[in-house]
Amino acid sequence: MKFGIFYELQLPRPWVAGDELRLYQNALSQMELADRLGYDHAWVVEHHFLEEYSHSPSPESFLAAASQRTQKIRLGHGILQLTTNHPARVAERVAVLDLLSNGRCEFGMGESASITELTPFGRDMETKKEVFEEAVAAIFPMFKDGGSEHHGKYFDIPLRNVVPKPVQKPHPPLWMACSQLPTIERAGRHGFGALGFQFVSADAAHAWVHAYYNAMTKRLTKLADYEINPNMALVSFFMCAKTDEEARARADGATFFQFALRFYGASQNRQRPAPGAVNMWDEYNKWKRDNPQAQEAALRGGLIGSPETIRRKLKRFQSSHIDQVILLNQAGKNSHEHICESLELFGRE
Amino acid sequence: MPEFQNDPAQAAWKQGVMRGEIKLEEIDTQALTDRYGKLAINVAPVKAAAE
Repeated sequence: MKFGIFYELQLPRPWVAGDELRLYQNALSQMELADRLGYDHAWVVEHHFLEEYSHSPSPESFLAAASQRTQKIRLGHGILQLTTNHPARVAERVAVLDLLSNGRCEFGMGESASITELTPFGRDMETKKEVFEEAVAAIFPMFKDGGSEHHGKYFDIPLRNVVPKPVQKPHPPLWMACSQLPTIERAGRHGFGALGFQFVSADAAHAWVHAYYNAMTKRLTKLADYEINPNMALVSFFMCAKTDEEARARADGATFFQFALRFYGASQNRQRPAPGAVNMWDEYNKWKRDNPQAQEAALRGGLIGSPETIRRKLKRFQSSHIDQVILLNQAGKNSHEHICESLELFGRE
Repeated sequence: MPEFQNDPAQAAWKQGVMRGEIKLEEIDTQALTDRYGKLAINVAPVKAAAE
């Protein structure tokens, strides 16, 4: 089992001057630490306009910085949005990160799940899957030597040679974002690694692992000429401390992740309030006070606790044949100091 | 926790699955498709939830 760390770059309100600078610099320091401790992957999202939930619109810049401060950890686009980026720009960014990191790039692809993000880029919920699939078909010839062209419904790209080319041949390992659980089966069917950005029990993980590998081995339908990546990763809340009580206290605001995800992602075409109209952190804390049992249930399912508690929970995930657990460190207002202590304790146990 | 990272059994299992030597049961995932998973929490902020 591999271990990844995951960054939405969350920044709950209230905001003060210097917050975003600290957020980025702390996250880079955490990646350096994770690299030294032997963690396998660092995943960074691409999101636009999602106040408080994710201040990470430019993962290629962030990962490029990380590539110069780390040695071994794999650097994952988790994911690049194929709906809001031109295919040539995606191929270029992936290749450049692979060069800068000396072949450590992982290429995760996604659609975006929110009209808050899609509308400004001229995309919508109804056609985003079609756009995604056409973008995949356009991108992969660009990684090969020589030129390529694509003439489709959403992209019309004349013959050009997209340079540079990635270090890893034929291309970096491919992943697909699975914000909705049924997409895990779709990722398997297309031959992509599955980045399961959902919180599931070990029992549910067992079922989804079966669905994923059955789709890949029995119903494989590739969208273009690429190398398949049989890998399934699932995200989990994470906080490791000397005692269960201490870990639980330190992770108290982690469910802000789900709260904000639901705010932006639930109800496909719901119009969101104007920027700044809702203080999501305040709303979240009201919800938490009113729903203590739901809060406890959500945290209980995560990898939160002493090393022994986490070890026991991991054995259940291991038995479900998950390939990678993606540890959600940076959620809500988890502090930099607690995140670093957690990474160290878990990594050295 | 290196004991999990060094897991030859997982590598062998996956190789067996991909080669077709290990057959996986088709499990109905219909009951497991809640967007927010088994740990679902109803969290839409009241002020912002106007459809």
